[in-house]
Parts: sequence; C-alpha cells; structure tokens
Amino acid sequence: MKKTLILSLLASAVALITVALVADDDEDRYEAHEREHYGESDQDDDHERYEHASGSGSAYLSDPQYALYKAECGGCHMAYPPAMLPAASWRAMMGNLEDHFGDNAELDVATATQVAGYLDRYAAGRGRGEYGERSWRATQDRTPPLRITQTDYFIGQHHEIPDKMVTGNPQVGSFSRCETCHLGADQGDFDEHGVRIPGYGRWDD
Amino acid sequence: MKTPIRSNLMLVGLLAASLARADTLDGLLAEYKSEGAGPFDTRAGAALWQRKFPSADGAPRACTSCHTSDLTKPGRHAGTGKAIEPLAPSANAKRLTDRRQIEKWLKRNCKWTLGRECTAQEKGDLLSFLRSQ
Repeated sequence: MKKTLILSLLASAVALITVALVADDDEDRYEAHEREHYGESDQDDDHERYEHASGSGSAYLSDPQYALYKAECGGCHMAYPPAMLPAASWRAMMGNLEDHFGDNAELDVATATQVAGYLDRYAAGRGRGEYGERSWRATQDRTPPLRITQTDYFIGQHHEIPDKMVTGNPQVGSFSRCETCHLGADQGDFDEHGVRIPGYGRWDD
Repeated sequence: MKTPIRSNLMLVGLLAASLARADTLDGLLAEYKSEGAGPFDTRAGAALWQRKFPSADGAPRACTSCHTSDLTKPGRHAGTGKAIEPLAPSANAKRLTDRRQIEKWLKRNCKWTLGRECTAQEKGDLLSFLRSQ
C-alpha cells in the first residue's frame, strides 16, 4: 500500500520535472535570442565588448567551457573576460594557483588544464577585439602582468577616478571588483555608460 | 502557472539533494575512518570552525573570516568581497552534495586558514558539524 503511494508520487514528480524543464528550455531559448538581438544592435556602437575572431561580441561567454570557468574562477571573484590579459599572463597565473594573490586556488589537474585552455583561446591578442589588441600590444616585451589592474590599458581607463570612490568606498573596496560599478560586467559590457559607482552614480569623464 | 510546478520541483529537488548529501558524506566519512580517523564529533567541528589561526599577513584566520558564525546566512570572501552562498544545508540544499566540490574546498580552505591541509579527523569533524547546520 505504502509502496504504491510512493511509486505514484515518484511518477508524478517525474512528469512535473519534465514539464518544468521544457518550460525552462523555452525560456532559455528566448533569452538567447534576446541576447543575440541586443548584441547585433550594438555592433556599430563604440561599446568595448570583448570581441573574438569569430566576430560575435563576447564570444568567451558562449564557449561551452565558460560555465566551468565561471564555476571554478567565478566562485571567488568576477569571471573576468580572458581578453583582459595576454596568454602569457594566464599561463603564469595558472601555473601558480597555490598562491593566487595570497589565496589558495588549487584545482585538480584535469580541471586546471581545461580552464587554462579556455583562457588561452580568448586571451588578449587572440581575436580582433579592440581591447584585446590594445592590451596585447601594451604588454609585449615585458614581464606578463598578473593583475588586470596593472595593465597600461586598465590604468589609462581608470586613472581619473578618485580613490574615495573605489578603494575608499566600502561598497566597492577594490578596482578588481569590476561588477560593483560596471553593471554589465557579467555580460562582457564595460562601456562607461553602464557605470554606476555605488554612492556616487554615473561616471562621465 | 509556474508556481505549482516550481514548488513541486523544489520539493523533489530538496529530497534528491538530501539523499545525495547523505550518500556523499557517508562515503567520505567512511574513507576518513579507513585512514584511522573517527569517531567524528560535531562539537569538535564547531570548535575548529571558530578557531583562529595565525597568518603571515598578521590578521588571524578562521573559517568564520569568510563564512561567518551563522552558516544559514551568506558569507563574504575576505579578499575579494564576493558574496558566498550559505553553507548550511538547511539554508542551501545544494551544499555538501558534490564530493569533488567538498574535497576541493576543504583542501584550499584548510591551507588558507590553518596553513596546512586538514587531517582526516579534522575533516570528518568539520563535515559532521556542517551537515548538522
């Protein structure tokens, strides 16, 4: 008797999951379509999206390995667009995860290899994106920078911002927390029109 | 339209997560025992959770540095400030269900906090404490 009840509960659960998954799938497709559309309408703008050789903006986001990258690296900090550093920088970083800016970020070998491959594919200079090109040129013939915030390009873009708005701002704290001010950072959008500094609002230079 | 489906799905999900958790944790604890550790003590795990360890940068480190003392609330990464989802299974059903995740974070975070890997006894005590939250 009890067994039948459990079985019928299980069966209805499976049916419900199926319905819900199909519904969610439709939703995902719709969102993907919206993203695509949004991306297209931006093409002529001077938005600094992290383009890859494939031509589609923010290609690093649609790579099948992005989910892994986001889970493994994005667990502790923003999943930075790989084009923010040249491949040599990512290689140096992935070779020393035990001391990752004072934190232990060790990965098992299989995962580390996959993440390293992903970063290499979209590193600065791999595509024709404006940012990637500039970042790559600026770092040739030098020790590869390990911090995005130490690249000339980053410094050039941020040097006018007073410390009180970032390092002295309890809601921000550090220039490495892109997403606190760049509201589209998760989508690879770092355009200054999308900047809202907590406690200060828009930024126009 | 979606609400009944979602809430049913959530119930099934919770049940599945708690089964996965029991499975994963029992398996890990059995392994630690086979390494000579045990029996495991929830209170020892709770004490280790609060214990402060000296660090090279001068600021003492504890599990609570990032996860806080209330495991049902979100924590905050001490370095990057990024929010950390609650660790208590009662507040976050996904927790302690994935063996790979558990081992990865125990290894990393023991090294960061204690300055060394945790022993099998310490890991067993910690997991016993965490699963009770």
